[in-house]
Amino acid sequence: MQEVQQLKEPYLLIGKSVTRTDAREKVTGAAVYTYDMHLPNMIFGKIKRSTHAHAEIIGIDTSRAMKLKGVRAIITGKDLPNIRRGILVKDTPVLAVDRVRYVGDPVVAVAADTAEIAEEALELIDVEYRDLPAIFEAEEAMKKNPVVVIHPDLKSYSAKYAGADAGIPNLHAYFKVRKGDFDAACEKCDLVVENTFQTNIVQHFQLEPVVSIAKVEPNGTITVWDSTQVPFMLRNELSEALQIPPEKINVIVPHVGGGYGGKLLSVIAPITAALAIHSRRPVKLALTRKEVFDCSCVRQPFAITVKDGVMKDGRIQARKVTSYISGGAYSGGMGVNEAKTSICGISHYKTDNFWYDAFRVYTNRVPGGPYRGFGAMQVNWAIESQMDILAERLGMDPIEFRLKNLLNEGDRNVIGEMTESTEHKALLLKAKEMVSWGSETAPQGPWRFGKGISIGHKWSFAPTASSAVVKYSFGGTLNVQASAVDMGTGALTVLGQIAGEVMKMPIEKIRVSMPDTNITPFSDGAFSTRQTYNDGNAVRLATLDLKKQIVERAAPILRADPLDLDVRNGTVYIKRNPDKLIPIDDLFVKGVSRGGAFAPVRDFIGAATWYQTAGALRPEDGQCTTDRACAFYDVVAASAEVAVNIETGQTKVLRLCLAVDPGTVINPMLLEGQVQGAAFMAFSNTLFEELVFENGVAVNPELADYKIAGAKDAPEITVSWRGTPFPDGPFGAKGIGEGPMLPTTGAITNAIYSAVRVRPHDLPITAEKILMKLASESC
Amino acid sequence: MSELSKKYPINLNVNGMEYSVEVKPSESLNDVLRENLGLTGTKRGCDYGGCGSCTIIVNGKACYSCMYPAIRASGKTITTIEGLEQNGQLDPIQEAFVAKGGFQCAFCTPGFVMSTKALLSDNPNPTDNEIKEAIVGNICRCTGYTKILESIRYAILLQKEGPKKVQKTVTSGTIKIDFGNP
Repeated sequence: MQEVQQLKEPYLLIGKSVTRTDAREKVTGAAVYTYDMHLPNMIFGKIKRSTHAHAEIIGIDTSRAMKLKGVRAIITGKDLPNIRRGILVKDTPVLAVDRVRYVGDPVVAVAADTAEIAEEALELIDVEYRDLPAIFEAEEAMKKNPVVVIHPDLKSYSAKYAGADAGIPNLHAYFKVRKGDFDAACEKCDLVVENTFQTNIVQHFQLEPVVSIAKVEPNGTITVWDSTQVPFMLRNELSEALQIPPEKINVIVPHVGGGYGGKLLSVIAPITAALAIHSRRPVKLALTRKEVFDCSCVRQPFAITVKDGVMKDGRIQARKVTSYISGGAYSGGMGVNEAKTSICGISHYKTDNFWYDAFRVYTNRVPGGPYRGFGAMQVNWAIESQMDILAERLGMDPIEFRLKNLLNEGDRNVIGEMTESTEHKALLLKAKEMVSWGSETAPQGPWRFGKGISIGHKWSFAPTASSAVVKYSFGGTLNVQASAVDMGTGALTVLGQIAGEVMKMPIEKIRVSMPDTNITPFSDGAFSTRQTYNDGNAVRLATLDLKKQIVERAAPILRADPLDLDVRNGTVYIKRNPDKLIPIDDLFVKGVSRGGAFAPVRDFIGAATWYQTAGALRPEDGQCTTDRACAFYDVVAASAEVAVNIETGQTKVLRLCLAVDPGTVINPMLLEGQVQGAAFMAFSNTLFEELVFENGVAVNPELADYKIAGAKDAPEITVSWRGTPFPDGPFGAKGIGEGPMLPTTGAITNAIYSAVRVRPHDLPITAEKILMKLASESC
Repeated sequence: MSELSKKYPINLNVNGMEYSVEVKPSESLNDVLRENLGLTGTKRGCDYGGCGSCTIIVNGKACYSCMYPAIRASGKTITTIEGLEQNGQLDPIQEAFVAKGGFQCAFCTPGFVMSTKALLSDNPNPTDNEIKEAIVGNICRCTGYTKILESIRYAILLQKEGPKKVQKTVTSGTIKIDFGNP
């Protein structure tokens, strides 16, 4: 272990586990979430959903429901603008028109005085369907002549999509990488190994269900309160869906009870807003837990084939990976992007010959969409399983084998990006040390013990932007206006620490706003590990702008050059003579009426926009047009120790160790919380969770049948981090929200193999699968 | 009017205050707390006792308020998350969750705090297994439980020794670079 390096600057707030600014309201129950809100005159929405996996709508009869007392609005797809929305492929109607494509597809929406009346009204609505053939598996959907085409008009949808000319009618997103000549390189290899892997459908399970409230204001504008991760994106999606200009829509985000990617899509807000428009009443629409499970958004399953050619000395000479993504009935907003983003789950090893193909196809199931790790987790697990398989075939230690192939600083990765400020090897070795690699636990009764290791990196997407406005108020408070969504991450606290650090003010004096698109400045929102870095940079720059104004105003009073001045704790002082200072409050003019004080000429307001550029990946070969296709890489290595019961197949994860590289750590306690939480989520996804569909119907969309790991299952999770500042980050920070999702599953899988020599190739790794494998191995 | 939609008057003692409300037999205590009394600190995540975010204390026992018929609560003593703070002072359990970062999105937090409150009222010195048993009906999707367990252990210490005697431990004070390059 190296000696602890001190940072050059003594920081006031950066690197400190300051208490979350929302702590008190959250532990007292005072924090208000959208789910808790109630407006005067508010009524309640409910959705009539398709009971058919794929069918034409022959007719909808709402006449009986309209007569029910207390029903205030009923809308069908035909009552709405004839618009399909989507971020890349515009394929998703607000309510189904003519055709339903999954069990749960919204068909009719009702608003009534109470949720019970709305529910009753749904029962009185008759929808007549004519069944169409349905597709449930990616394999069938990939056919050039499938049993059915789920979006026959796909080619006429407004957005272009890659792979349109492949002749696969259900294909709607495709991404490829072509580097070197895979086949030629493979022929020269000592060993060629091919394996396939299948990931599970899991649900985000945010504790606060998906919920939206919409109100038409007297001036005709619409206010929406929503548990969203992306207020500005939601505003634009609402605008598109309802054909109302975005400036006439205001999105306000109260506290958000968890997101994990599942609150990126505007699953219900357009329906809520349409109900509000039709009823002229504020409408609240909250999904039931069952609807959240099977009608909102799921992590889409990947079928992944990995074929590798390696040399005896352990060099990977050729690698070909193919992903078939069963995307569900629609493109899932940004879910369609996973075909491309998944590349960052497998780009951490170098090889001269690398081919990747990712196909996303329509299937008749609830749409897949963003889920913490965004496609990278799925392929990373396949690759990290394959790495252990290869190491064993080569007779090499899995860590040595990885070290031989991991990227070094200055290497070009498989998509041509320059490897900068990442420390893959150091992190892998740290994860090795944390789990006491090499020391073995002897069997105890039926229990066998094993350790496993894995590594991955998740990029944070770019180009992207965030803005911030920071105001210094008389009395010594700093008001930070940004549009970061704190869905639990501690983003608002982190932004407060960044602003406070620039002004050298205590966190108690800093207020960070929550998003309100009419008032707070632009941000792309909370996804892709982006807020600490992007919103953080915007806040840092805006606060520097503010500081410059304050210092310039103080300079003539202190008779000093602005460059010789600095700020601290509500004062401006001369750097070489810190006793000579002026309180910032003295720069205000006091005693005007009884209103306190004002800043003459111009209020003390700083503003800035952070715009992160990035190169594009060329469609023909997936190679980056510049040195970077993203904002940064978040590298995480994981190690696990497990115990497996050979009589029952049960796996207990005893320890999870995560070595992470988040750049400068703004708040160690929040960092640990993010890493532990993501690793635990991956652990629960790996061993317990699967939303099972039969003929398009989810058979276990309730907690009694869908197991989520609890306190008794919880392994000890330890976190270690490097704090090497990242040059472009605010005070050197990157982000950490998703990275630990990637390697955790691989580490557990590899540990199970080391314990009992069986390796399930499909998730989740249940006791049954282990037992069956153990039984078949012993035959 | 059918039996089911008829409303019946009940008296509730919630956080030391008396309330008279009229409820339908189908209404849960969760409905009454959140909708009639405006006490939205008690959450609702599933409506069938699956997630624990609605946990409250009725006559000393932790209960899922979403599964508790309001009509059965008549005359009983109910404590919700809003009832823990006394004279502006947080309950030691709340203090501990703040100090140890035992929450993130915090939609589950009132439930965890109330389960812990019921546990520590009965058993001020529980073992780790007893702690886990007490929160087995509460799901947290954010934290991975590590910091929740740390918070509860710290709450036990705070209750035992009082807030002033316990050194506030900060996870890490400064940025550390605690291992070298290979």
